[in-house]
Amino acid sequence: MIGLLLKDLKVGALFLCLIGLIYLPIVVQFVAFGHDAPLFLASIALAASLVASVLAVEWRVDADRLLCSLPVSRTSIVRGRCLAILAAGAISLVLWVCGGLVGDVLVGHVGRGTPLWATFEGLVGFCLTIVGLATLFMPCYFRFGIGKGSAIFALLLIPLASAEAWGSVLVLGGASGSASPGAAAATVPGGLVRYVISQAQQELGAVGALALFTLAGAVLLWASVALSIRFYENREF
Amino acid sequence: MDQILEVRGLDKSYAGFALRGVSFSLPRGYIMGLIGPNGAGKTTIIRLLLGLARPDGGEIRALGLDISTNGAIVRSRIGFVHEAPSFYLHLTVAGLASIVARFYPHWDATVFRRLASEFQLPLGKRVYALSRGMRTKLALALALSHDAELLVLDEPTSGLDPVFRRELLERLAAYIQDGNRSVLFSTQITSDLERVADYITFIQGGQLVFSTTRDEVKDRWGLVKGGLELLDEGRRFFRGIETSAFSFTAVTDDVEAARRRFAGREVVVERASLEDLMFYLSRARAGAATGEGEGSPPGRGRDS
Repeated sequence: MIGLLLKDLKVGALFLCLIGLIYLPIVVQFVAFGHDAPLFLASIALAASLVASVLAVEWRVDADRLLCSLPVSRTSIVRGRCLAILAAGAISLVLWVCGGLVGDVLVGHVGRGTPLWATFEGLVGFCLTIVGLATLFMPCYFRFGIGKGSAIFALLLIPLASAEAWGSVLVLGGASGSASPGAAAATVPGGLVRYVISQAQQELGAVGALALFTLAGAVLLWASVALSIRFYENREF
Repeated sequence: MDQILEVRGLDKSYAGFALRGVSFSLPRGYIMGLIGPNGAGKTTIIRLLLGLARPDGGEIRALGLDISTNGAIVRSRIGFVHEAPSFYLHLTVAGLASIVARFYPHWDATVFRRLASEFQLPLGKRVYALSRGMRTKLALALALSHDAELLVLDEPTSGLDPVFRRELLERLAAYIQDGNRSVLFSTQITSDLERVADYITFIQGGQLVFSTTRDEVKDRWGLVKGGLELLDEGRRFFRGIETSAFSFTAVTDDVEAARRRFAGREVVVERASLEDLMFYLSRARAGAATGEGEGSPPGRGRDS
């Protein structure tokens, strides 16, 4: 599994450099203008781009055939891929936080409070978003491959993202009106997720909320990996 | 004899193609050529052997292990070269080798470097810059660098220049010299097999035509050439027939019986090359499929 993760990191290293070159000016620009939410989304997009670039290379060279003829089980391939997706998320998280820090140092704050990358709900929200996307994407990819799998992933993602956006408007619109804790999250995309996180933090404390969301993320990933293994076992190359 | 590869009753169906009850075995220390026309099922057998596809029925045992339950272990002891190797194109030769090396417990970097040098593969060159022949050499170097007991080669010589092709065949012959290693070699360039193969397995239309030693193929199969007036006398010996205005050429799997039958007649009975067999048996099959064939169609699944 580690071999598979290292393989993906090696294959993706070039793309990390290229995508990083595009990402860094975006960070500085967004920090300079105090655009926390777009920076959050750009960092999620960075993780997605890293994963997509590695998978595109693999598709281009028909790497499934190469991987499946190596002495490694399909189960390990799925788990390795899951690790690689989480690694891409972790790299993006680090770049998001570091980029935010460096940007703040370079250009300073523009009339705002604690930046999103420095808040509990921002950090946990980032991780949950990555886990959620990975949970949804992996079964699609391992069942249908990168082409059809991505299309189906997008079809599933659109209603979920819409539901989240409408949920933010409906729930947080009222919450903002009543000055509910965490209601500030309603002002940015993904606000409902972060609102739920901030509510959980209020109810359970930071440690309790972290444990709850870690458990939820682990369950989601476990189910997604189990389903992906089942799908991938039946794929033929 | 210790069998390094045993295939029993292998079935696999796709839309428009079916592999039916294919059985053969390869002893340790020998080279087996897997031949057949395009679409015969050679690559399907190799995909099933490598676990890239699942059989509908039958069993494959490699190195004494059932590959359906020990796929990863078996693959760690198999070296594989595909006709069109799939590699990460943007990596260097050395970078690709370092990725592949992690998966093999017996990887020997020294052997890889030596082979790369012998094959004139620049370690720092990116894979996309390699020609098709050079990529095949790279696949071969990767396959030979982890002390594999069984080499599985799927059309490895297509795209190679004649010099390296000859060199490859010499390497394969040297590879099995210790008597512990074997090669399964799928190809349509039958002259390659005439040089090195100890066993020949002929697949056609998803069915086994024969699987036997090359010597037995030489002894049993032959070409019979004669006038058309003699054709009916020999039909029961013939497996594929080509006729012209006045004469016929047929392939038989009982060359001695054909010799006896036509003794003293104006008939030439000669040794058939593997290419002759592929040609005449394919013709017979195509004829049988259209109802215009002559001779008994092959594919009776006889396993010698």
